[in-house]
Amino acid sequence: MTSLRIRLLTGAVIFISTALLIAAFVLTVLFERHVTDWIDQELEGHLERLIANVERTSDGSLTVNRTPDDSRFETPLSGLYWQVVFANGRAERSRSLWDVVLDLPPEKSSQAQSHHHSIRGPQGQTLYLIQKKVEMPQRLGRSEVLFAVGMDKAQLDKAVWRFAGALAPFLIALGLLLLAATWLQVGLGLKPLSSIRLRVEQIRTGSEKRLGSDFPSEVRPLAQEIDTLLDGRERQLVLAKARAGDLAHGLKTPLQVIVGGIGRLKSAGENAIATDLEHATQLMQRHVDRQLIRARMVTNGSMVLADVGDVAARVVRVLEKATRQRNLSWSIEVPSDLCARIHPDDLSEALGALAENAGRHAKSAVIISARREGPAVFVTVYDDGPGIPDKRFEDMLRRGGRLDNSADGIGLGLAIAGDIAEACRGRLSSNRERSGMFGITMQLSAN
Amino acid sequence: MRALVVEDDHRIAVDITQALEGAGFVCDTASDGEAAWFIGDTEAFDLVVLDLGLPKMDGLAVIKQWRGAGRRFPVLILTARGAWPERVEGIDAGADDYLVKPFQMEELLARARALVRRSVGLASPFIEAGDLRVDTRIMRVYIRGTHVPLTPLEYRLITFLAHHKGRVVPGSELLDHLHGEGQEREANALEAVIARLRKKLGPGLIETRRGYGYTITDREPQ
Repeated sequence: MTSLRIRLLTGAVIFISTALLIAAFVLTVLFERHVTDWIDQELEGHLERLIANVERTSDGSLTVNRTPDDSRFETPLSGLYWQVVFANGRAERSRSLWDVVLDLPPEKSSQAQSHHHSIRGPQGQTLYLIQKKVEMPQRLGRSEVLFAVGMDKAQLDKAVWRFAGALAPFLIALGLLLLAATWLQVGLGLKPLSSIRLRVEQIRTGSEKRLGSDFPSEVRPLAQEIDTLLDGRERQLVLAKARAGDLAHGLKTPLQVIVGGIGRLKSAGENAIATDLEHATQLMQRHVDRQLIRARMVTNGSMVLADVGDVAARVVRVLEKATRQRNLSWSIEVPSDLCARIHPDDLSEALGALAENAGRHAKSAVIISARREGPAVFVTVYDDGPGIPDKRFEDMLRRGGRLDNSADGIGLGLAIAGDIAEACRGRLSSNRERSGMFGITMQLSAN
Repeated sequence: MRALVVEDDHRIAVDITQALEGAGFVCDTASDGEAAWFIGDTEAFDLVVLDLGLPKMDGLAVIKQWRGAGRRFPVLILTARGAWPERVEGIDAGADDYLVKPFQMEELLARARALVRRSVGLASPFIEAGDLRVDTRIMRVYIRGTHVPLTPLEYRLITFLAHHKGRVVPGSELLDHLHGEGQEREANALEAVIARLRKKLGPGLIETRRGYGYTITDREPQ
């Protein structure tokens, strides 16, 4: 069971149902006990009145001269009965017994306490019976007389069932109320988790930077831990970029010195050595450049979106100035607010590399265009230069951007853009959709 | 043409300086940001080659301060990092072009010449004024199509005037742009160079405006 809500609700249903069943059982038992006590008192009262009403008749035998005042004793088979058995075995009974003589259980001897029994009643039903053997006083001959008062147990059971029947809807209503309350409580309890999920989503899409601390105290530590992780990750990225920068400085400054030395070798007429060194240096430079871009890349797991138009404008601002003497026309055709899931710095690197290539080979115009199609964003750099033949382009991509044969710099730009697109789960492709122009398209994810 | 080379690595600074001097520039150098800012703020330059990773004051901060103080000379930034956000920052701070290390000196010179031309509104590497034609790529001066050999100082002077064709350039400004820091800047020496140039290029090319300075125009020499 993976849902916390279902887990909590299932637990609540089991717990509430069990609690309500136990409550129903206990309440019914208590009610039954209460009713039994009440019946006991009533039957005891009748029993005492029977004992008190035993008198000697004129022929010397004992009799119950007055029956208890309850009309049910007079109504045949009413459910309330009494029976007195004298020492000589003669029995007197309530009219309600009609012509039935109860088969009373034997009592050993006269005792102060009455005893409870269950016996078969006049219609075969169970009788709840109280009986007592009493030694009559001196004036009544000290004989032992057995007094019994019984009630149809079905009446007791009926009262209990009626009570249980009345209790059930109430308990069901209570159960439903408790379940509703639990549903609400679980919903409220889990809401902070939903808020965290929403905030994490916002961080992922770049509209928020951190979770913040406006959460209940129970989940605040979780939010703080996530923020700490994000801080740590950001620090690592900044550090990685700084290290890449230091590495760039550390590698490229000596490379520049070597390039200077190559120039001096050329001046000294050592052209063969200079050319070899120049090729080796260029290759080294491309590898260094590519690895530095990879080291700087922050897109892996990027949680920000790049505004494509904004990044394109920055790149064009730089290249327009750098290529001013060539009078190139730079245009941007990007819908406003078009965003792609890539770090803006990485998009700058990729777009910059492609646009720099385009600017190098264009005759008069470079266009950066972008469009969204469903979940994808297509960013294309067009130039009116000779372009790259399809087969060569495919070869370059297939080779994974190997740099050794790309002395014109196209390979490096493609390799850099390809690496970045790949890190964003995108890809590069070439096209000639615009008449007279060659385009390289970088496919990125929209969100 | 006077250039300021700001580079903390001595070997690279020497290479750049030699290349620029070979291209007709006279160079001053600075090896940290503070010194660069001071020199650039107090001296006149036609070009600044500025490394971004400088001690004491970052290259970007130096450009911002120069631009903030109204210094408009073209700035070519050199960056080892080569990251695009850094290039954008450099251009936005007021740089005119960038080069990513390691670069070929020929590339630096081409950019440097283009920047100097652009700064005075010229599009072509050839500057023409009347019979005069200067090919800035190979540093040669022609009169009516005939090459006239000039000394580096003479070349710098005629090129500076050609770049500012039609404008009267005061002698003091010419001296500022012809000599590096610490070099002698005598007005008499300037007169002597002008006299030599008139002798080599013809008497009417460089006009003297008494009390103002010197100029060359498109006008045919009389």
